[in-house]
Amino acid sequence: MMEWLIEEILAKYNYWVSIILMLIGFYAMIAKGNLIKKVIGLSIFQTAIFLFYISLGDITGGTEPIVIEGYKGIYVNPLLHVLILTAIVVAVATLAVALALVISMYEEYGTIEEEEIIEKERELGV
Amino acid sequence: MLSPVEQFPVLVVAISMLSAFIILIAGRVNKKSCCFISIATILLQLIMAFFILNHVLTKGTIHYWLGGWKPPWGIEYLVDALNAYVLVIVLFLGLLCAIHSKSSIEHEVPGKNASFFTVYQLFITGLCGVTVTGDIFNMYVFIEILSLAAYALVASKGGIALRAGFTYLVMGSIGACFFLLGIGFLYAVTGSLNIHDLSLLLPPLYGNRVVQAAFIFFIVGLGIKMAIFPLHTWLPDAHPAAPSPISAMLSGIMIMVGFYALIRVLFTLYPFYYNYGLILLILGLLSMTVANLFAFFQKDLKRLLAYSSIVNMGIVATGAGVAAYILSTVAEPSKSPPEAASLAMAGALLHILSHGVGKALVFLGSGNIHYGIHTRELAKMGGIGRDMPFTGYSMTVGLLSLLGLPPLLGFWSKLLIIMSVALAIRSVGGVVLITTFILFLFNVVYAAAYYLRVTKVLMIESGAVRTHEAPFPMVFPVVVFALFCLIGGLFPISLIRVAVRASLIILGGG
Repeated sequence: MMEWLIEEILAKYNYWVSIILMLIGFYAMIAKGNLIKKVIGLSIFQTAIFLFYISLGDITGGTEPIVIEGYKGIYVNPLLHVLILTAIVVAVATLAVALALVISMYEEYGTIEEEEIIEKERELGV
Repeated sequence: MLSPVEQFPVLVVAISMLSAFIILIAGRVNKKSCCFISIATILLQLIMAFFILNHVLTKGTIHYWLGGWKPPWGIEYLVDALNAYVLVIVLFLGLLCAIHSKSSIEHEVPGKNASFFTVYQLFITGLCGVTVTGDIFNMYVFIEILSLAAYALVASKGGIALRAGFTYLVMGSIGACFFLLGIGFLYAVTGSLNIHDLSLLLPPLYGNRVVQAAFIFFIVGLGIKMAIFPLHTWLPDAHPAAPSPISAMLSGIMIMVGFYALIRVLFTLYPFYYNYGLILLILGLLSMTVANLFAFFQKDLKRLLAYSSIVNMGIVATGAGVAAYILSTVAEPSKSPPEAASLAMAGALLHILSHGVGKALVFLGSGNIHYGIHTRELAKMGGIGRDMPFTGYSMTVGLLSLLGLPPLLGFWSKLLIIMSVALAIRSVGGVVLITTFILFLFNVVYAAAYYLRVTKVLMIESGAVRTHEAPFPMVFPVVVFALFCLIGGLFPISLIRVAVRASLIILGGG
């Protein structure tokens, strides 16, 4: 039991952290009625995936991938950081669009609760 | 030294993106110029796409290395018959929808000319990028570009469209994140992102649980993008809410580009040992049946058409599923795939074209009707086809093509799929294929019920407010699409030939 705990959970804690964060974000996106909370959930979800990528590339004791004369040690993988840099840009753009939609919904209906918006839509007869 | 045509794949994407920013600046100076820049760009891209298709069919696959970095280190744009075929469809629909937008945008989203065409151009960029790229992470980025543009375009009408756009954004982002996670898994075990390179590195790892998990993430992630049955819930809200040319693009080609990404990833990276043929088959048949039942009861024309898009996605997925299923039953994968498999895949690919053209036609037509009588409700459209003859008759052709009536284009794609299933029943047999055959036929016939109902409302009934034909830029694309359905249906041989070439590429016999 103890060995299993150490091998599967403690040794791979980085993956567990990103899984837990991912599920928190996912829960917020599905279960919350407040649109801003949904957006926050989305952001957490995306960040968890970034964390997963970054932790894949890291090596204990590794250094940044710059060639140094005479250095014989190990480097961390830089490609994943580059990929995540791109993915962060995508995530920022997604957040911008999401927030813009929430703002225009607030201007239109005066609320950011999904149920109230649906109710108002029904009153307007659409 | 690359020949000019071999540089076109990157130019198709780059020109489109550049033009998006030019439109934004030009819109400040002269609002009228936006749509002309957009139309000119897409026309140029379409010409390039034809050159690419011709080159690919006669001289073979194009490899373009971005920045001269050799794959697997650099990003590679790889264009074979399948990519080029999808690319031409994307730009053909894109061009005509842009022409339609010239008038319909002033009617549906007044005063947003510049921003609309900017986002539209980015949308086209994303669609082209997904089709030409040979790098899986690059594919993710382009999927996100096209989705972000789509969210904004869906919500552009304001009001009820805002919530539809937001729901679509949440669903679409989950899909894209799952796809990204799948890519991460594959990178963790192979250290490569190039699709071709991955297909060489993955085979020894097929038993690995990480690779299997990536497989699930790809199916769910791209399944949301292509709106296949249990993941389709965003589509019936999002597609009708958008302005009509955008509905035409979303329903006609965007979900099909999602499908393209799925078959590219699955058929290239995973062997039939995972038996996703069966998964695609079941999902396809379910989407067909369920969406058909919903579509029948819709009172809103655009909503009915949105459900019919899910039905057609089901047809395409069934075609691909049949192909993969037949291949999985062949014990020893030989050099060339069995005839029935390539026929099924060719049918699915041809259906991308025939559905795209037909669905774009009817969505644009519904835009024309909205222009005339300001309603989307079927009950108020009785006999509108008599007041708007061009729109009315073209829409009839489109609806009959979607229904699959010979000699229109839609008939041939459905025929190819059903023929391949019949062939496979003879050579492979089994309950699965027989069920597929029965359900497929049932759905094709059932769909006729609502297509014919719409046709009857448009052309025969009466009761609509008197109106007149929409302006020329809105009528022109509709008529061109209708002629394409007709001529393509009368002379389908060259189209089928291209589809078969593309299907051989994806099934590994090309």
